[in-house]
Amino acid sequence: MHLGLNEQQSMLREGAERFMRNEYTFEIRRAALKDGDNKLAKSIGDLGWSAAALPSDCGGLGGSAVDLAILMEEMGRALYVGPFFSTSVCSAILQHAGGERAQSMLESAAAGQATIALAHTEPGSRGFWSTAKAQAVRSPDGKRWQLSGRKHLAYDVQFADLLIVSAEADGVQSLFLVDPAANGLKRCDFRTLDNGYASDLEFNQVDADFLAEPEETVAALDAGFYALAVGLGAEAVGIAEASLKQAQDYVAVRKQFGKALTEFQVVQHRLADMFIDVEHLKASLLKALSCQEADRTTRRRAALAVKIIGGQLALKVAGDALHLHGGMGMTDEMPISHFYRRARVIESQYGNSDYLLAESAKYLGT
Amino acid sequence: MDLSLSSAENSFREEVRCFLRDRLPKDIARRFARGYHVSKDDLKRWQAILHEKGWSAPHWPVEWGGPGWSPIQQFIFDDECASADAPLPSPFGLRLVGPVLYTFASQELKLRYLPKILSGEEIWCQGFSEPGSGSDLASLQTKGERVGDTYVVNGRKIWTTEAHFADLMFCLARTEKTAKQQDGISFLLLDMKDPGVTVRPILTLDSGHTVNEVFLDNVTVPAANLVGEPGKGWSYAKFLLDNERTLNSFIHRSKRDFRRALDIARNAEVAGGTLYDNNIFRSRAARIAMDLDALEWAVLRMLSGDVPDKVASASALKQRGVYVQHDILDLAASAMGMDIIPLYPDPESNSGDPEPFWIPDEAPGFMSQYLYRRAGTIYAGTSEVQRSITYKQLSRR
Repeated sequence: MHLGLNEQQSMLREGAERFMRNEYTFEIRRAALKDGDNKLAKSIGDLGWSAAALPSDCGGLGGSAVDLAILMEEMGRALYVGPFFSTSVCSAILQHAGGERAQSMLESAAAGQATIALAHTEPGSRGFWSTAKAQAVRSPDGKRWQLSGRKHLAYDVQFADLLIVSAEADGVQSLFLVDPAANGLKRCDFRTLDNGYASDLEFNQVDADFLAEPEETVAALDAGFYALAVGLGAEAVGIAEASLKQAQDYVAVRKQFGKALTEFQVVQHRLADMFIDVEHLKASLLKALSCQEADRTTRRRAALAVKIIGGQLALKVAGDALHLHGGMGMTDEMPISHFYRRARVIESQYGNSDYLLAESAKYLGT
Repeated sequence: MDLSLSSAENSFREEVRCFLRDRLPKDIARRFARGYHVSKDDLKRWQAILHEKGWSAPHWPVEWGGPGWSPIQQFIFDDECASADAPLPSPFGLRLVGPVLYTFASQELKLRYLPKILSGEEIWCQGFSEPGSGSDLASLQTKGERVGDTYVVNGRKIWTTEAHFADLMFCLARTEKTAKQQDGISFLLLDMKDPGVTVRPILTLDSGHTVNEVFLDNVTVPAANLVGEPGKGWSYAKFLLDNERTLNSFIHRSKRDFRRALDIARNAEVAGGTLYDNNIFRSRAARIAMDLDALEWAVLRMLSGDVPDKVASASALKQRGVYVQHDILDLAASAMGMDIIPLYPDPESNSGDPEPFWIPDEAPGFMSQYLYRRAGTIYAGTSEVQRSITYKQLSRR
């Protein structure tokens, strides 16, 4: 066992950290989000990050979820908003799907040339494991499928070259590929609390390609959930650690009652508590990463754990950091208010802690 | 000890309820319930309706237009107002500067300002905090220089709620150089229309605008607009802050928010029914309900004066009130599930900002409240300041 990063992983981290520090400052970010500008996604495609966690047979670099976690942690630290994560989760799903189209999309994604978005949750659904109500019906000639139904809160659809859509086909949960510009697909794009890009979709007999048979669908969704839980957990690490840093820097210079806030023991203790949380979260991420090749139940439990602990602790640490900024923490101009909003959303994405805990409780004692 | 409301108090509650049912405009209640910041129009309209009834300043002495209610009647009134989604009147005139004026100001200032606070014709803002003086308020730097019959005020105020539509500001400014920083501060009333006043909006994390930074450049304040004695401003400010021992518990709003959290759960479908029927949700909600009941009795206790130390208990009440508020908001956010994620434009703003196809009724405005109330541990004395006050009082006993 060796818990440190290997040489290749260290290079990936350093590169990501440097790129974000130079190319995605808080000011650049603010301007890009205001204009809805997605230019940086192209540069990120060129850097080959999308290939890092993918196997070599589809043009990947043969890495693992560790590589995804490294990148997501750095993106969390920089509060990056972009479709990299959606494509990564979809790539994890595509690896478990057959068919030429899936394979060629995976290759494009690995080459950083395609953005893929997941349209899975529906209005009223509470999380990733809720059953899709959208219906897929075979065309009269039996060769094509048509989708009807609603998808709610699908991220990055407006940048996507391809959508992965869940639907019920012949009474079983299945996955389909849909062209975002297909006929019969109505869409509205909106922004999220944390400046992200999301869409609602209404499908009315939209042409779709079958992506995975029922058995493969289960495996594909499991892989997708694992990628998203590890990705969001790693992003939560970056957010929590950066929030602690922001708070520590702020209280070192802010003076009240004639001394820096750092000199007050109550402030020191809060910072220490935040550190305890950050370390706990990092450990939970390691546990999840150790389960990538484990049996399905073990892996799902560890994924649920890092999503829950990540969401809760990033929110706690960012909330503490916001508090330590006093009134300044409440302002849109301070990065900490954005870290807090991102943490608030992570806790709820694809199901909040209460929902996922109920899911995890099913595996207690196994 | 008599722990129940008298029949007179019960009929008073009924009277308030009927009044609210008949006179609270539906559109104002609807907007307030959503949780976005209240507009100046809504504040003024509602205050004028209350004024017409003689109920606009429940806690003021009869001499200055109060209705002569007991503390329990005031409590009942606030409770019913919150329950009916009546907007909380702007506190700066009614709750904060009003009592300072009728207690310390000259007859001339009382006659000039109190009636228009009562009627809602003039809206006030509070010029206390400064960029370098938050928790350590007494270190404030804004200067008021006496020039003939005026004070010329220069400085910067921050976190000034509603400054962008306030008519007047009550403001702390240093008018004398003294050894002790609490001395030499005066309490001045200034006109927001003075050319030296510049208001810069501060956008907060709820993406809303209610607080501001206010620049005071050679603002001219008639010397007659000094409240009480020069250099005694700190003691008036302390009076003002001490005067509202129960306001910051937000008990009435929390009771209403709790009911709303349960409604959200009733509308949330989960496997096998609604979230409201889910045992884990119910246990969590039941625990908060207990805290809410205890908080309500803590407020009643404070109102009756039956507390070991009024200052320590007021700090404890604020602190406990914030915990309860945050617990309720977290419960409601959890019940709302993934629908807390979109940024919903205010449905009445006609902003044209994009919004999802499917929006639960309770969603727009909810997260604005949730995010804005993160400030609960910061404003009106941070949690750390409240604890220090509490301990200081304890150590004297």
